[in-house]
Amino acid sequence: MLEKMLLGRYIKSNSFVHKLDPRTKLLGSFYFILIIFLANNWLSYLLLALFTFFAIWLSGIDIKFFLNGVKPLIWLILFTVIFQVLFTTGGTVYAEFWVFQITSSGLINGAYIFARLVLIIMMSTLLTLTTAPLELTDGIEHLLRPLARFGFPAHEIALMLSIALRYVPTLMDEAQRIMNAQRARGVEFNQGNFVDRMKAIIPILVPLFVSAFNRAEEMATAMEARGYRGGEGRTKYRQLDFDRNDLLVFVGYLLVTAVLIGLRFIAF
Amino acid sequence: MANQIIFDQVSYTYNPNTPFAVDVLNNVNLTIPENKVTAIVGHTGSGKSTLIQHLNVLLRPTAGTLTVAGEKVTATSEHATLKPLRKKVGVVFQFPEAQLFEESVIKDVMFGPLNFDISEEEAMRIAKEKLALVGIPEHLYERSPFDLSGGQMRRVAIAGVLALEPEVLVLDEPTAGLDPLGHKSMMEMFIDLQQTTNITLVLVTHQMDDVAKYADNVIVMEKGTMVKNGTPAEVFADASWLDQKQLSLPQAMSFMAKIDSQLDVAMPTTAKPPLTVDELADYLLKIKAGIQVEEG
Repeated sequence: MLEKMLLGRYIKSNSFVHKLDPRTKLLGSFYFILIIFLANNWLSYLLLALFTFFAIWLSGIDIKFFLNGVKPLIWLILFTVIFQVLFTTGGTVYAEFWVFQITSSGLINGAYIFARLVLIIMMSTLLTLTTAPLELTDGIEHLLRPLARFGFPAHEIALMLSIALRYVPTLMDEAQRIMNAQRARGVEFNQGNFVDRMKAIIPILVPLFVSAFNRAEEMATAMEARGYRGGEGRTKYRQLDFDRNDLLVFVGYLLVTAVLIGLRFIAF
Repeated sequence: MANQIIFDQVSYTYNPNTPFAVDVLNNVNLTIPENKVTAIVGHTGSGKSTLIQHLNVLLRPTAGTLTVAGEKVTATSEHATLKPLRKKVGVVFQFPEAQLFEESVIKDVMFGPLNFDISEEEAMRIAKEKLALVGIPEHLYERSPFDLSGGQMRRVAIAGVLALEPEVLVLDEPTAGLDPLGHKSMMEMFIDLQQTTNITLVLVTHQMDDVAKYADNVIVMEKGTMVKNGTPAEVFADASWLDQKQLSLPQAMSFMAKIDSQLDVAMPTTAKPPLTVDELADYLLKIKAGIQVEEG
């Protein structure tokens, strides 16, 4: 099941999007989620869709992976869309039964919400597929740094994030190994009722926690031995640099925003 | 022939049909003979670990047929029919101490048998027997496995697999990280067990000395396929080929090769090349006897 999840994976490449500053990509993805709420008609959604596909094309990654990324969430999306369709009133009424009404504005709203969710998922998938986890935490640390002035532990949070991200694959491997070892001893994970299945988790959970504790202790010792004493006075090995391409992205976003506002207030 | 393991054109791909697909096994054809010690060697990433996960059907081949304990396993085999095979083929994974979880040593060893519907008393009896076999003293049985030393934890974990009383025992680097004495005593325990109970032993290792000393049969893996299969003497006969496969000779053999190339002495042609230190000693004694005959 886990191998089907695309969100949160990284595909190594050297495209335009890959080389962008992680801060640009982070801010861009957040900004995209904001401006998608500006769109309120077909033309503006078409523009956003084109923008998204253009970004995907720039990343050089097969569009199929993005569609696969949407797949696990499709039921959630459809659920939302169906609620929109059934409960929105207004416009021409096509069908009516009990409290439900299928109306033209309901259908339009449903389609809008569908487009909105799919585009947001695609954009965030693009962010994680093109940004290595460490770059992502670097970006987050930089963006959080202004908050440190108000006592916010930006460095500590960034450190925890990067360690956590670094150990996700390691712990997954470890979980897989322990699972295999217990299956070899006759544990069945996909058989039996709910209680049986929960019980089968214990032989994995206990060793996994124990190994995580051991790992944390070893890691803390190794960090201290190498002279780590907290965030103060540290230099950075990976420097983030904001260059012409990043500027282009922001210009692109500004243009899209301007056109969206135009479409919202002038055209209709 | 019931416990023979036969790979017939077996291939395995991780994450098939995704951008992360990796072919790990490619058309593997091999037979692991029963009641023998078979060593599987190969460079890191050659597919050894994937291969052994097939032996007790934790993985099913994505193509080809695997025959384990008389049962045919293919890509479409039902999971439910495979569970009995797991009792017949026990696997000790790398660093098996990571699998301990119960509150006491004895309970952890009993865990395996209990999963295969063996009664509580019987499981207890088996557990005590296996703990004695791996050399865990009785006063530790009620202790938490997490209180033990690393070496003892390893022994308890191995006892947990032995408690399944498998007919085929697969060991994936069972002595990695152990001290030389622990290594020796553990290997001897396995070989002794193999000889007394006549089980099939499959040993995955990087230690060529162990292969030379204990194995009857060696399988060499490279890039997901089997590239050689034979007795240790056959596999170790060609040093340059081994070098190509990033493998090495056992120490006794490389020592012998050095003597061969640097000393101008007549080699006894009757004896086979020495694989182990003991055979090497015999060999050298024969050379010495030959020299003495010449002088006398």
